[in-house]
Amino acid sequence: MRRLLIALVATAVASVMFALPASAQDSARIHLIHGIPGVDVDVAVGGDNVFEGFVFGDTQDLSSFAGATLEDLQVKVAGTDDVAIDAGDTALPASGNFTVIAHLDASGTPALAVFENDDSSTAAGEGRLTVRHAAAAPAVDVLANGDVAFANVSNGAGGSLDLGAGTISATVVPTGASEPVVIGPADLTVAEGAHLIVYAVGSLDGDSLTVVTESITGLSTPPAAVNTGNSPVTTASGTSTTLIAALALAAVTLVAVPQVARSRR
Amino acid sequence: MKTPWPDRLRRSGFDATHTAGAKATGVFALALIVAVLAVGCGTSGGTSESAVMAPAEPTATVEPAETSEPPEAPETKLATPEPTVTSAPVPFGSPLPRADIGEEALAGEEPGPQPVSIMIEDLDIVDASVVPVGVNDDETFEVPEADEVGWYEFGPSPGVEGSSVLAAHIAYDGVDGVFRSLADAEIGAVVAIGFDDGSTQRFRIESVTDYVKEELPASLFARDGDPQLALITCGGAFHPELRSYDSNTVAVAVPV
Repeated sequence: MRRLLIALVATAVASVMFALPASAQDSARIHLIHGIPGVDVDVAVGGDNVFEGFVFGDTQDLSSFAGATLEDLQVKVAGTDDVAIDAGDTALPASGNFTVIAHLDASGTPALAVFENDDSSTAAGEGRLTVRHAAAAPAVDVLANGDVAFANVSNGAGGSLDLGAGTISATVVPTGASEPVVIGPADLTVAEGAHLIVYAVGSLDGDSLTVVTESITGLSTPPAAVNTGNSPVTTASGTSTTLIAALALAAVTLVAVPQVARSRR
Repeated sequence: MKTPWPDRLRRSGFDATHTAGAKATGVFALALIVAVLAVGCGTSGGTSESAVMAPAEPTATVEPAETSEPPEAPETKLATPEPTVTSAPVPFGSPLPRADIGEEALAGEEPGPQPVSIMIEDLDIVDASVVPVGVNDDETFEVPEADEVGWYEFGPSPGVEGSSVLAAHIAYDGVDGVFRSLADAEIGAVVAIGFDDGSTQRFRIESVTDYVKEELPASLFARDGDPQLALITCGGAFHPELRSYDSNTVAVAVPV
């Protein structure tokens, strides 16, 4: 009896596990970005090109493949059999918010990186900024308005910050140094309720260092309250209602006193 | 105005990343357990976890793509794979707008026309000043002076998609506010908004509702949907000891 019970439970668990990916797919957001400047690429799955002529900056929505496996995923120089990235069998996450970016690693070799994105709500009046190092360049510091916001960020890493909506002046320098400025100074706008994700891409030595950005919107929180009043409205004539109440009280008192006097007799 | 950078810094740590260069299926072995557990429990990824890609079974094939019409393919960038036996999903994803490239893109878009004046003849509101506002440090709506109307600058401008919020005092420190008689507005009353580019747009009030403050609908701050104005002030009982009102009075107007 006990063995039967275990078998039944195991079957139930297994069927749930296999069933879930279908529904979990609905909740995933997976974007693929071509983050290597200067080279068009073809993307192949299972030995066949599924996408050709992918230009630097192009973005594809892979959300419908959440939980699925891309067999023998390759990124090739467009129009050739020259494989730039050989990712092998690649299973995409079943749920969550992700960005897959083809980029240059620290030594300048093309690679695929997967980043998970925070799509939780931002506080009222705030937005979110994420910076990611996806360039053939050494570790950097990212400065905002002259102060270090993200320190010692190396290829493949990044950081996030929630901050009040507004515009900041951003620069990127070699870590621990104040010059040379390798990116910026640039005005960077943090929009309320949005998550701005900035990737440093390209190659420092190849003089192609730049940024690509994506944005996740719809994260805003309304104000906690709308407090639009702390005193009573005056009447049309401008006399305060408090004064009218006082006058009314006085009138009642004048009428009442003679009654009291009469009753004393 | 809510204090911007850097005083309201809130760090949330570093993302980890998983980089796949050469065939690295062996590396993913450990990830299988995590990924399978995640699927089994239906959890969504935590922000501090590295994004793992589970290894595939050697015999795994790609599930057929969910059928949903992809948007128009741009130029000739999309290749149509041969309709023969292939493990490739057809079509491969769907194109999205290109990522913005270059430092100039960091600045964001130029804002459109912003409201600068409001007129509601039926309520004797004539050319009242509208100013852009945000939130206070306690995250409440930043209401301006009694003789001004605050336009919530994080939301849409009046007439653009979504709900454009304009709030003003009913009365403040003994001075009647611009929206002192908002509760008397009638259906059909016209609201005229003037913009900083000289244009004007008219709206027609279609509802006036009181809400207990704690139940002010979040939909009044919606960023999408049909354009509407949400005019907000205080209403209901006034509590002198608290110097505050019970309710918010909201008049919703739609473009004429």
